[in-house]
Parts: sequence; structure tokens; C-alpha cells
Amino acid sequence: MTAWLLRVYAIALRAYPADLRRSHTAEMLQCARADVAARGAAALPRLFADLLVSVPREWLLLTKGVPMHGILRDFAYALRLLRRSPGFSAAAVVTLALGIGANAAIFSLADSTLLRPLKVSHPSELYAPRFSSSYPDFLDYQQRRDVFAGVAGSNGGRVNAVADGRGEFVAAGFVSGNYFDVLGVPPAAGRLFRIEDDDRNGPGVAVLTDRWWRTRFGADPGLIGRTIQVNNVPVTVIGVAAPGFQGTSVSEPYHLFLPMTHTPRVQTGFFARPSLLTGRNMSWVGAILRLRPGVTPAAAASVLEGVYRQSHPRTHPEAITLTPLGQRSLGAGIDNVQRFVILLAAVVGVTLLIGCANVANLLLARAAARRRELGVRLAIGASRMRIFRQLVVESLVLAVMGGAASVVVASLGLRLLARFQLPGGIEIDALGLAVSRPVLGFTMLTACGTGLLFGIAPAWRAARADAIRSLRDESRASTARSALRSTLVAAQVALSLVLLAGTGLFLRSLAASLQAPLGFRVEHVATASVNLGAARYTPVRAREFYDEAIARAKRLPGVTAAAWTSLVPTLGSRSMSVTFEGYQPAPQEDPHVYSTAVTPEYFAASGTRLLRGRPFAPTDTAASPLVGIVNDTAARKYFPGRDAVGGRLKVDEEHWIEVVGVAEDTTLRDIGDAPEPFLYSPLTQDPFGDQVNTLHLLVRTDENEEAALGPLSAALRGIDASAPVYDVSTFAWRVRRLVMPQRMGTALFGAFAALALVLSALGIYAVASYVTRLRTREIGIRIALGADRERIRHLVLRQGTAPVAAGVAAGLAASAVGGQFAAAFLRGVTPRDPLTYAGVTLLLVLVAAAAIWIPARRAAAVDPIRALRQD
Amino acid sequence: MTKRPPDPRDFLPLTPAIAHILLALADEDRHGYAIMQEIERMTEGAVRMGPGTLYGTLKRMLASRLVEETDARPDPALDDERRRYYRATPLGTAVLAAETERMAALLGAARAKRVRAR
Repeated sequence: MTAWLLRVYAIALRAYPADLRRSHTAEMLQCARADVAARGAAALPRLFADLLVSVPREWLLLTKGVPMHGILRDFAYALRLLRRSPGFSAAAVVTLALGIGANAAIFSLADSTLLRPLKVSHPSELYAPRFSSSYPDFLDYQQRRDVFAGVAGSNGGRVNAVADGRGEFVAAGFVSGNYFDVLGVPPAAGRLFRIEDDDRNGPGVAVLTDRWWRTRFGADPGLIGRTIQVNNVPVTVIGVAAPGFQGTSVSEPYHLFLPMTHTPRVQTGFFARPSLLTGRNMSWVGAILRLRPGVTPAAAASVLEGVYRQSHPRTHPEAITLTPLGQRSLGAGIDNVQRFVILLAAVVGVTLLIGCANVANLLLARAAARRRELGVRLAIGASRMRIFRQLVVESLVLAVMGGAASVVVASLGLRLLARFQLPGGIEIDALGLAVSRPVLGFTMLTACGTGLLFGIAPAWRAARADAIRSLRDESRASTARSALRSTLVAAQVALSLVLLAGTGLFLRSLAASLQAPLGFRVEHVATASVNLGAARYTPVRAREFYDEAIARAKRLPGVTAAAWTSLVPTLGSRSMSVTFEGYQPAPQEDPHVYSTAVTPEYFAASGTRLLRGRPFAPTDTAASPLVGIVNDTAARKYFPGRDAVGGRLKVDEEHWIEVVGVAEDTTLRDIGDAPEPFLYSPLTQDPFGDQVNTLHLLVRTDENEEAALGPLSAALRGIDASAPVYDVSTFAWRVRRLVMPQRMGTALFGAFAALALVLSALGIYAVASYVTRLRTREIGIRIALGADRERIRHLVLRQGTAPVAAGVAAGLAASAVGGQFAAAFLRGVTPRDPLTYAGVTLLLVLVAAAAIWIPARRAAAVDPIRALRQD
Repeated sequence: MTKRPPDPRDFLPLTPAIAHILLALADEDRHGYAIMQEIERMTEGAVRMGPGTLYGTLKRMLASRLVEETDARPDPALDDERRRYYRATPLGTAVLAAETERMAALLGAARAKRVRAR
């Protein structure tokens, strides 16, 4: 913990002005280390207190001509005051730290997805055409130096990278020699690609991302110059790209880069064709354009179109449009990603507002207690401006302390976020979020902003106070003040209700999603994926590998079934046009099925129920008649009014496939999607005939599937250690993506709603008891005059309830509007679900009632004698 | 026109931070952490200066030539890390002397009026 706080201290040292930072912060850190070495953790409070005082001082000293002497004194005075009321200070700082920290964590997420998804220089100049180009066209584009400051090319693919005899199936970027120059990415070690690396007969070279260099090779500097195998081709590692840069796609971050011209040498299948680099009809290069200053995207697009027309005189392509590369990087799900991140930002923003309202309430209460002190100062001639400034500085000091503590909250928050996924399957962990300099800047800005937000109103009020009245009894001036506080409470209640409603909706949606029939029994299933094409297996060897894998998997303890499939939920799907015997398609209708190839035990392993007919058998071979199993939707749609079993369909002109079974529908992409028609084929008869592509192994076990992962991985590596086996995980983990938005929404909304509820309850309680205390004397008189204690209790309850009721009404209205925003992520529940709204309102009212009840009971128990004698 | 050498009295009165640092450097050159320790020792723990305050002040003292850097070398009493050492310049020594004189005068005046420290 001490070492960790010392790291925080080292980061915080960056807050000094640049001048001092360059010349002396290294020495400061030396001192801090020596101090900690001598004194241990006891040295830390002083180090941080010193930071808190000296950072603003150094900045203020830079601003010449400002009467900073007074402000510095205000700072010192504020610190002393806060030290004197540690309970108040701690409550305010903790509240702010939670609020600001959560905002900083989400800001970090927004920064790497929406604001600056690309870790490149001047990203606003970068554009990409919507369609990929052929390699010769790409070279032609590069010639237009009048329009483009640079044209780079890239194409992603997964490769089997083997180092030290261990294979890993990773994402590779095949990029042009000028790629890093055009993007403006510097090396972290070694060198990056140069134009010479475009030589298609040149030596095999690779550049790694910093992240993969660290995770796979422990940041070993000795790796530079060493040779690794990529798809069985030897390549030399020449360098590591700058930290944070993982290519230009957020959804598919690269692990390493290879020269684009080496694609046919390294890749398999389509990309291994010799004409890849010469054919103008093969579009595969993603061009990245850096526009010269003053060139508009529209102008650049028409230049590209002109170049394209010249070499393709006979074709009439769709108009070329350019999109900013930053937008492109988030992939197809960009709208959902944006909406989700904005939703999160709104949630944490609301939580911070609730926290601010609480701190403002605390400050108002303190201002009331300090009326006498401030009154005295006004009476002896302090200017109102001076008092105002003093109080604002006090709130700023609180806010900055909260901001400093929020760094801890933010880094914990990021660790939590890393366990989730954004819509579109973007692993937050892979974004490599960190409390970086922009995040620290954001934190400090937010802290100062909140300090002003909650500090100005109370300070204004206090500075306007009448000196004479303040010195007199204070209970009468309380009505206006408590009106402001009641408004704050109403706002808190409204905002809490919005968060609670959001939580309720996501919870109901999650419950609905978890109950939705997936068409799989995901429990007790371990899975693994493999791509033998990348390891240059022949179909015959691949076949042997598949059979051997099933045999070995079935020897593992508890395993009841094992099967290969070309498709697991959310990963890949291929659709093809088919002809069904006896089915007359409507005009414009294109009968189609999604298809997957599986081995015989597939249905036993996946748990997908066979409704009719038989499963595949080992006797369904390449030589036997073609058979298939359709899903319920295909059976109903294409075999209306008759049994699909025994029916026939064909996927090409000549071969009929006989339907031998009907399986239940399954969920492949998104829960709530209408099921699509589906066809299962035996792997031995796969109509795509592509047996050396990516396949997934499902292993059903009686025992804990988590425990089976290690042995399964070992069994597969036992067949061939260099085979690219990847994503060894439980089936449940793979399909979690299906319910990820709901799960993430529930977890995050829930956490913040709980926090908001606690803060609001505190706020309600504080106001109710404050009002009660102010009126103790009045209540005493009433009781002395014979008022019923029951009525006193009612009086207080009624007064406390009014702002809560107003807040609930406002909150319900706000939720009804805000709910629309979350609608895209909800399944099986409407954003205006009455049950949810009723439930959360009830919860909030109960909590509020409890918070008011305590002061009400205290009021009713007031002893009139003591109340009157008070003061 | 020749530049007039700065008059030590232009710096008076000294802020407590500057005074303490000059005092700590009065008998020997010290590195930053040693200055912090010396100030704490001199004042019997009443003044504990943090690194931010120390170096912020040192930087300004370097700029107005009250102190100067000597060399960087390891402190045998600490670890093997090299540290920058600081020394009071003749101007710095003169300023401290002037401040001491000013305080002595103040103290004398106070004594004459029988003002006593509590």
C-alpha cells in the first residue's frame, strides 16, 4: 500500500508547473522516497499535505500582479479550518472522491473510445474510404502527393505466431512500409517499418505492439532481432510500436504488424493467391489517407474517384465516400458504443451532482454554524468580497482534496471496468485504460468545477449576511436557507430516482435475457478454438487432428460428449441461398439459411434439443448421401404444413441434401433477435468444403467446466504444441457477450444507484434534523402550551416529506424521458415499465421515510423546559 | 552602465522557508533531503518542510542567486543514489546575516520594552 501511494505521489508531482517539474520533481521524489524509507507510512500524510499547499502556490506565483498573498493566506486558513472539523472534511472529501473518481474512470473509457480512439498524431487529418481497394489501386492513390500528405495501407487477419515452441493465434496488421510514418507512431524499442520493407522479396520482419510485447514476452528487450514463426514463416522482430498503439481498429486490436507485401507469403486461403498484389479486381487493402491542410474530404474523394476511373474504365463503382478514421475504428457498432458510453457518462455525472448537492448541504449547515464568526469579521470591517473569496477557497480546497483522493477511486474503477465489454464485443481490458495525464487533467478540472458548483451559492449567501442580524439570535433567518436546502434535497431525490429506475430496468432486462431460451445448455461445457489453416495443415492432417482431439477430450474425467462446430454464438456466421424442394418463393424473396458444419456428437455437446429425426452419425461421410438438420424456423418457413424430415434442399445446382432432423432454434447474435433459418451439415460433407479453417470444440462434462479448461488445453497442445489453439474458455463465458450490455448496465447502474440512495438518504436526514434543531425552541413552546406530541411528529414529517414528494414527481418525469436513451440496451422490458417505476418509487419513499422518521421522533420527544432554557 | 551588486537588505524580511533553508546551509552543503532533516532538527520538530515547499523555494533562491548547486554525488549515509547538493552563495550568507541583524534589532527593541516570550 505504501509503495502504491508513493506511485500516486510520483504521478501527482506532474501537477506542478512545467518549469519546476522539469528541474526538480525528480529530486522531490528522491526526498519522498528517503522520507518513506526513514519513517514508513507515517511520512505520507505530510507529503500529500505539502503537495496540496505547494502546487497551488507554485501556480499562483506564476500569475504576476494578482494579489495572491491574500489567496495564499486563505488557503492556509482553509486547511486549518478543515483540519479542525475532521468529520465534516472526511464526509465531504469521501463523497467528492467517489463522485469524481467514477467520472474520471468513465472519462478514461470515453477518451479511448469516443474522443481519441486512435493513438496517432493529428487524427483529425486521417480519413478512410468506405470500401477496400486493390493493391495496384492503392499504389496509384499514393502518387497523388498534391492531395495526400501520405497514404498508408492495412489489412487485418489472424495468424499463428509461434515463439519458443508455443503457438498463439493473434490478430496481425499487414501494413504498408509508410504506415507508422503516415500515422505518426514512434517506436518504443528497435525500429518500425520503412519504405524498404515494402520489398515483397525482402527478409521477413515484424513489429510488435507494446501490449503484446509485455503480456507475451515480458517486455524482453532481447526479443528484438530474434526470429519467430508466423504461420510457419520465419520473421525477425525488428521493433515495438509506441505504448497504446494497437492499430486503427478498437474492436480488433492488433498484436503484431507484418509488411503488407508479405501477405501472400504468410497468409493462407484467399490471401495466399499470387495475384493478390497485382490483380486490380482483388479488393482487400484498407487505405488510410492523411489529407494535406486545406483539402476537404469531398475533394479528396473525387480525386480518388478520378484515379480509380482511369484504371477501371469499364466499371461504374459506387461513389467513393470518406469517413474520419476515428469513427471507423469503432467498427460497425459505433452507434451503440457511443450511446452506451454516453449513458455511462450520464450516470456518473448524475451521481456526482447528487454528491455535490450533499456537500452543498453540508456547507450550508456549516455556514449556519459559522454565522457568528463571519458576522464578527464583517462587523470589524472585512469586506464582503473577502468573505466570499475565503469561503470559495474553502470549497475549492475541499474539492481539490476530493479530486486527489479520487485518483485512487478512478484506478479501482478502471480495474472493475476491465472485466466488462462494450457493445460490439469490444473488450474494455484490451483498451488498456489507465489514469493517464488527460484523465488527471480531467479529474482536476472536474474537481475545481464541482468546488465552484457547490461552493458559490453557500458563499454568496454567507457574504450577503447582515452583520448585526448574524450576531443576534439566528433561528429566524432560517426559512430562506432551508428553502434552498429543501430544493437541493428534491433535486437529489429526483436524480436518485432516475438512477434507481435505470437499475430496475436493466435488472428486469437482465432477468429476461437470462431466462430467454438460448437453444444451448451452456453450463458444464468447456470450449476451445483452433485454426489449422494458419499452421499450414493439409485437409487430411486436419481431419486426423480433429478426430484425435475428440478422442483425447473424451478421455478427460467426466466428459460425456465432444464435438467440433464451425460456429459458436456471436462468432461468425455464413448465410447462403438455397432451393427447397416444393417451396415456391415469393417474388423478390431469396430463400436462404445460415449454416454450420458439425461433428456427430454436436447436439449432445451443445445441449441443443433435437425436436424430430436423428442426429448425425459417424456413418454420414463424404461418400454417403448428403444429409442436413434444419432448425425449427427453417422447418416452419420452408416446409409449411408438412414434416421437414424427409424433405430436400440444395445449396448448389446439382446436389440434393436430405433433411434428417429438426433442431430447436438458437440465439446467435443478440437476445431478442427473431431466429433465422438454419442448416446443420456433417463436417465431412460441409458444403463449403473448407475443413482447415477456424473450428470450435465443445466438450460437455459432468464436472466443473472451469476445472476442465486446463486439461483440455493440455490435451490439445499434446497433439501439436504449435497448433494455434486459442480462446480456451467455458461456453458460458463465450455467450456472456449476449447479455453483456444488460449485465454491465445492471452492475454499474446498481452500484451508482446504491451510492445515490445512500447520499440522498443522508441529505434528507440532514435537512430534516437541521430544521428540527432550529425549531427546537418553537417546538418546546408548543409542547409547553399543550400541543399534542403526535401532532408535532406529524408536523416534522410533513415538512420533511414535501421535498421528497416533489423530487419523486420530477424524477419520474425525468426517467420517462431518459429511459428512451437506454431503450437500445433493454430486452424484454419497455423503458416505461410501470412495475419498475412503482417498485423504485416505493423503495425511495421507504428510505426517505426512515430518514425523516428519526428527527421527527426526536422532535416529539423534546423536553420543553430544556428547549426554552437553551441559548 | 555597470550592474550594481544586489544589496542584501533588498531581500528582507525573509519568508520563514527561505530563512530556514539558509540556516540549514549555513554550516555545510546539503542535498534536499538533508536540508529537510536539518530544518526539522534545528527547530526540534516544530518546522517540517515538505519536498514541494522546499524545492519551490529553492528554485526561486537559485534564480535570485542566494544558493547554488554544487555537484551531484551519493550520500554515504543514505543509499547509492546520486543527489544534487546545494550551497549558500556569498550573497545568501550576507542576506542571512542581514536578516539575523534585523531580528536581533527587533529582539533588542522588544527586550527594552520588557516584552517577553510566552
